[in-house]
Amino acid sequence: MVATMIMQRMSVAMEYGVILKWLKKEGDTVKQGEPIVEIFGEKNEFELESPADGILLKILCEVDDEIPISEPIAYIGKKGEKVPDVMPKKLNVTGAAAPTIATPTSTPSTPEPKGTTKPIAPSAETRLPSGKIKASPRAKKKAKELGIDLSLVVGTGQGGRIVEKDILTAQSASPVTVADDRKVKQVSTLTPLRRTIARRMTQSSQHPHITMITEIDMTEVVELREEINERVQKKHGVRISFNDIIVKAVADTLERFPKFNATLVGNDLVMFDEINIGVAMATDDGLIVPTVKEANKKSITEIALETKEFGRRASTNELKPEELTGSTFTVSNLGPFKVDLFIPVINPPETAILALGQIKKKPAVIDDQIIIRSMMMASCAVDHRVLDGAPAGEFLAALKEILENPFMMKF
Amino acid sequence: MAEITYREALKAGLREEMLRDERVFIMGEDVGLNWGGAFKVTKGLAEEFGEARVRDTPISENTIAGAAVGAAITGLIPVAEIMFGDLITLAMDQVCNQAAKMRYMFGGQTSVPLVLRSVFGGGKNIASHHSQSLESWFMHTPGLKIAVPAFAYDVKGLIKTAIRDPDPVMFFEHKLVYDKKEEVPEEDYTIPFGQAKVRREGADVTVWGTFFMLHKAVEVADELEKEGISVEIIDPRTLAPLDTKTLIESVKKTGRLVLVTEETKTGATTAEIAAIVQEEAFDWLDAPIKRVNAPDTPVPFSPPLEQYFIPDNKRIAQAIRDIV
Repeated sequence: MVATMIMQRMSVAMEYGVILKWLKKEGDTVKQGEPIVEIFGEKNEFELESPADGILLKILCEVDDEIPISEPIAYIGKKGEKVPDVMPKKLNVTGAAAPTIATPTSTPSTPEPKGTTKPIAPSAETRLPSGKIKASPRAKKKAKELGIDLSLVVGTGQGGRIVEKDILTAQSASPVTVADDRKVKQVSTLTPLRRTIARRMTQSSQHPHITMITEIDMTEVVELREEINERVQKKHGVRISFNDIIVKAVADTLERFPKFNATLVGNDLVMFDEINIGVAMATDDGLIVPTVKEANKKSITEIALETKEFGRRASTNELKPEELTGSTFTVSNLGPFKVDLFIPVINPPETAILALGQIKKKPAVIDDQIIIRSMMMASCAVDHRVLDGAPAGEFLAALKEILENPFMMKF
Repeated sequence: MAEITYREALKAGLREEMLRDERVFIMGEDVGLNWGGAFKVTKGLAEEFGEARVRDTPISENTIAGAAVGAAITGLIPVAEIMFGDLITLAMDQVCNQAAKMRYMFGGQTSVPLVLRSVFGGGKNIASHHSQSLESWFMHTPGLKIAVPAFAYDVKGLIKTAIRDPDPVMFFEHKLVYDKKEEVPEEDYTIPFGQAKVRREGADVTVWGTFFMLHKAVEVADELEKEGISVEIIDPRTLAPLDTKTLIESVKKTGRLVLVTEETKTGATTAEIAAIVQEEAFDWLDAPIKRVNAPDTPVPFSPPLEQYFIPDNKRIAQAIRDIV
C-alpha cells in the first residue's frame, strides 16, 4: 500500500511549511522514522520523517515551495506501485488563491497537564485548513482590479474573511516594482523567517497603536546589579543583565495589569493566567522572540540563566518551537545598540510591548539639585482597540516605580 | 396632503376605481352591508354602491375564487376578498390552475382581469390558521402578478394598477399595517408593477423586505445610524413582476444584503431573492447574504411564543451588525 507523507504541523503557530532540502531522492529506500526532508515552519527548521518502510516513489514539491499543513508532499510504497494522482496546494505557486498567511497566530498554549480550565479562544483565520484564502467575492474582484495579491492581505471581516476595505487598506501598501535603469547590486530573496516577520509586522500595523514614553532613573538598578553579580557570577558563572532585571520588573507589574497580558479574539479579550515574557533577540537572520515562561514566578537569576541559554542556542539555531511561542507580552531592548529611544511595534497577537533604550549617565534634578544619575528611556505601545492612553500611562508609572525602588523585587 | 391610514388609502383606491369603471365590483365573506370585511377595508362601500357591486358570499373560498374567474372572463372586473390569506388553500385550483393559466392555454383569446385581495401575517394572537405569510407559494406560479404593499401611499396606487391590469393579480396586505399612516394624495395615481422603492438611502448594507418587516427595518436603520451604520431599505412593492434592477444596483453599491420577511425560512421569497442576487451580483458581495425569517414551524398561538416567532428589531439589527 502506498503511504502518503504529509506536511506536518510542527508547532502551534505553524500554518504551512517551506521545503528547505530533500534528504532522499525518488527511488531511494527509506525506513519508517528516517528523516526525509528538511522544512521551515513558522520560526524553526524541522526534519520530517518517513511514515513507512519502502521506496520513496514520488516527491510532490520542490525546494522553496510553501505547503499548507496536511497537504501531501511525497509517496512511499513498494517498487512499481501506482501513486495517487493528488498534488499538494502550493501557496507560492498559482495566482488567485496564493501565498502566505495573514492571520493572527494561534494564541499561546502550553501543554496543560492538570485539569485546569482555560478559556478557549475562538479562532479567526483568514485561511481555511486547506490553505484557501477566505475573501468575499467583492474583495476578490477589487484585488484583481488593483492587482493586489490576496495572500498579502490581512482579513478583518467576520471569521477573518478578507473584505473590500482590507483590499483598499492593502492598496496603500501596493506592490513595489523596480522598472527603471538603476543598477542593481544584488537581489536577495527573503528567508522564511524574514517572511514570517514581514507578515506578522504587517498584521500588527493594521491595528491602531498608541505609544507612551517615560524616563526611568536606573541608578538603583545599576547598583543592585553590581551587588547581585558579585554573588551570582561566583555561583553560576554568568552575569545578569539589565534586561533580566527589567523582564522581572515587567512580569511583576503585569500581575496588576491583566489587560496588558492578553489577546483580542473577535470581541473577546482573552486574558492569560500565565505571564510569559517574550524577549526580543537579534540574530543574523532576523528578529526572534524566545519566551521566558511565567517570569513572575522566577527569580532574576533564574531569568538570567534562561535568557543566556536562549541566546546561546539562538546563535546556533537550536531553539525549540515551544520556546519561540506562547509569549503574552514582549520586551524589546536596544540599549546594547546604543539606541536612546524607539517606538516598538506590537508582537501580534499580544496587546502591548515595552521598548527600552540605553542606560546613560545624565544630569537629573533631585530635591532642586542637579546630580548625575543613570537614566533610561522606556516606551510602551498598546493596541488602542483594547487599551487607552491612561492605563498605558499607569502601567509605565507602575514599572517606573518598581525599577526606581528595586529593593522591593524578588531576586 | 392629508395623512391617512393604509386602510383608508386602500378603500379610497377601491372606491375611486368603482366610480371610474362600473365593471368593477367587490365580493367576499362579510364584505358588504354593515360589516365591511373582517378588517373593515370595504366598510361603507356597499351602502354607497349597493349590494350588487359589493356582494356578500357564502363561506366558501373555492366558490369566491371560481365565481371571480368566471366574472373576469365574461367581462367584469372582480375584486374578490379572501378573509385570511391562510384560507386561499381552499381556492388554490381556481387561482393557480385556472386564473393563472387561462391566457396561456387559450392562446391569448381571453384574459382574467381579477384581483384577489387577502391578508397575511401574525402579531394578533389568532393562531396557525390565521397568521401565516404564504406569498412565496404564488411566486412559484407563473401567470400571477403579486402586489405586496406595506405603506399607505403604495396601497392606493397599487390597487388601482391591479384593477386596471388585464391579468390576475394577487393583492396581499398585512394585518399590522392597516393602521399605519402616511401622506396620500386625494387625486388619482397609479404605481407601475415591478418598480421597487428605495424607502431609505444608505451606503453600508441593503435591507430588502416586505410588509410589517419594512416598518421594523426603518426603526432599526434609525437606531443603527447612531452606531455609524448606514442602511439602505428596499421595498419591492410587487413580487411578480419583481424589480431586481433596483435591488442589484443597491447591492452593487453597498456590497451587503440582509433579507427580512415574516415567512418561515425554508423556500421563502427571501431564498429566491438571495439566489437572484448571487447570480447577478456575486462579484459585488462583500459578505454572505443574511436572511431573517420566522423559524420553520406553524405560527404559535401562545403570545410569548408568537412574539419569539416573528422577527423583531433586535434580530434584524443583529443580522446587519453580523455582516457590516
